[in-house]
Amino acid sequence: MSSDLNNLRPAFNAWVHRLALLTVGWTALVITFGGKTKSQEAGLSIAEPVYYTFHWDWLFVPNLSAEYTHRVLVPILGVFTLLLALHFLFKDPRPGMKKLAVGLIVGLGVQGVFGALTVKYFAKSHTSIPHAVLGQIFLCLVVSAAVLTSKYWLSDRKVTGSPLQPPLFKLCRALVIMVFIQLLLGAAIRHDNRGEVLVAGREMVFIWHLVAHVMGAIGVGFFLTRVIIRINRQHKNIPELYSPTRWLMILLGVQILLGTKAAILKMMTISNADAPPTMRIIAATIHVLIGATMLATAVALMLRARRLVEFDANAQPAAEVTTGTKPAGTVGSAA
Amino acid sequence: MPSLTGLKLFLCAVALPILVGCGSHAQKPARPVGTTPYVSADHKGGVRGVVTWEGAAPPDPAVIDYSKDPKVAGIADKLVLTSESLIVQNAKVKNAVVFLSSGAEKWIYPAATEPVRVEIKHARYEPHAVTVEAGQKLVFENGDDFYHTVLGSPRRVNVEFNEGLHKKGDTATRTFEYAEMGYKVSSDIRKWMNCYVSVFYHPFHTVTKADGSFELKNVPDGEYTLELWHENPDVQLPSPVKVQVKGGIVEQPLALKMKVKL
Repeated sequence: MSSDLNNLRPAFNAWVHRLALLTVGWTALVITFGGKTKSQEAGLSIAEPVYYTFHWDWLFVPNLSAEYTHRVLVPILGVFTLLLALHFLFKDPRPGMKKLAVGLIVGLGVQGVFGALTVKYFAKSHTSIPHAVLGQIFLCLVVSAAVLTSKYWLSDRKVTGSPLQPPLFKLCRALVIMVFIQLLLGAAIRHDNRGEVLVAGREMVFIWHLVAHVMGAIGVGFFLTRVIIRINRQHKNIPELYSPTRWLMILLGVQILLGTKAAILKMMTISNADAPPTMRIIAATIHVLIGATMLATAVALMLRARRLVEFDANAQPAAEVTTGTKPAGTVGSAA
Repeated sequence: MPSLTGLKLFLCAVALPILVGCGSHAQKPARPVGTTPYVSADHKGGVRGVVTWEGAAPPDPAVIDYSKDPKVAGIADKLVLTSESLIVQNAKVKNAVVFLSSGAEKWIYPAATEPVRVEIKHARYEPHAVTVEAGQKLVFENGDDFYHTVLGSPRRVNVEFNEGLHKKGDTATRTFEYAEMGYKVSSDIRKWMNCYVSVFYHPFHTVTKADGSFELKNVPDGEYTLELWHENPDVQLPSPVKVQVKGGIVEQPLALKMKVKL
């Protein structure tokens, strides 16, 4: 990767990076309104799977507004994504960016198809779960685009050597996978055919998913702790690594509180499966949004670790680095 | 993040619904095979009565909050402000479904040609409860000048549907293949909108009026079981009643009361 970057690294383009950041924010907005639609059980408030006519007044009708806003935001996201993808395909010399461009276009298209299928098949879990999860994967792709177009990524930044195993990148990758598994389990709890498993007396399915989701939260905490310890010990002077870990810690705490509240409210309001009360809608929607934010942050952290830290068997351990002595065998300019 | 990893994760997501579990697939009730053609004009018998409310008065119906819906707020003076889940006036029960549950199997009934109509008026389904025969058309018509969706969510056996009615006069027509009690028709836009459709393989069914009265007409002579169904799960249904029709009208009152909660 280092030599590839050395030969093919483009100049930093502030507008491309800003477009990538805008796409990240817009994707988060789409996910938020999609999550709100599901929390309100309003996924079928527009009967047509594909609908092109604009009605400004629909934006103000409760339930209808969540789904309609979700659909209105998507074409705009499509424009941002297409612009990014075209730049990566034709202007960015890095081969990996062309693959990312294809991933963005395909991901958006498939997501649109699953959105239509979700409506066509009455928001059943076999379409709504892939639709929900693919949205999160798409968010990861646009976050990657933002990271890979950032100033520090394209700079002459020195790579820090670290003698510790496993490499920080692999620790962060494990964290990303764990957060993603948590998202899958959360989707299984949410997209349960409007509480059918509970109403139909199949409580054990719900309880199994809930227990697995709680175990997943413990898993995320475990991997996050390992990452934090490693970064605090070795890379505290790299803000691109240190700052996301603080955010992840805070978000994890908030997630646990919100998730507990959302689960309790869901169990208390089983009879209102079709029309959940407001507090449950708010708790569940914010829980989804923070989950997406955690995944995006973990992905950014993983990529930054890949860029900024390399395993170096000759590098000095952390204790010598903090005394100010230049470590022997520090990896030189590799970007 | 490599696109291939994203693809692998996506494939995992598609496989996840297996863990969620498939929905229940209830047994579809078989249509009885009759032996004798039924001609309604040949039969003068019937069953009629009144469904009354017994015991403690039911709780006050929930008040519907329309204030956040700008479309509905414009017709606020025409709105029904409370839930229709249980309507009891002067101890008489409206919208209870009364039907013959056995005894009618031996007849071959002609297909019902007249459609049953439900109008969406002032953000309500009117009537709130209907009965139809299997294969009979049920027509939903938009009586409001704004967008409604008609969402059919079966309890067990009939097919789901979701139709958009954009303006006044738009209609959606459905038929139901299998007998089913309380097929719920609702709306994802306005959650208070509900209509319960009960489907039968014969014509001996009806819904009580505001005064609790019901009448099943043109019932052939014979012994039947008369039953009552109501949408509200907190209501105690009466036990099925045997009725004997012999060319005349049989008077059979029925009663509902609240379930005793332990």
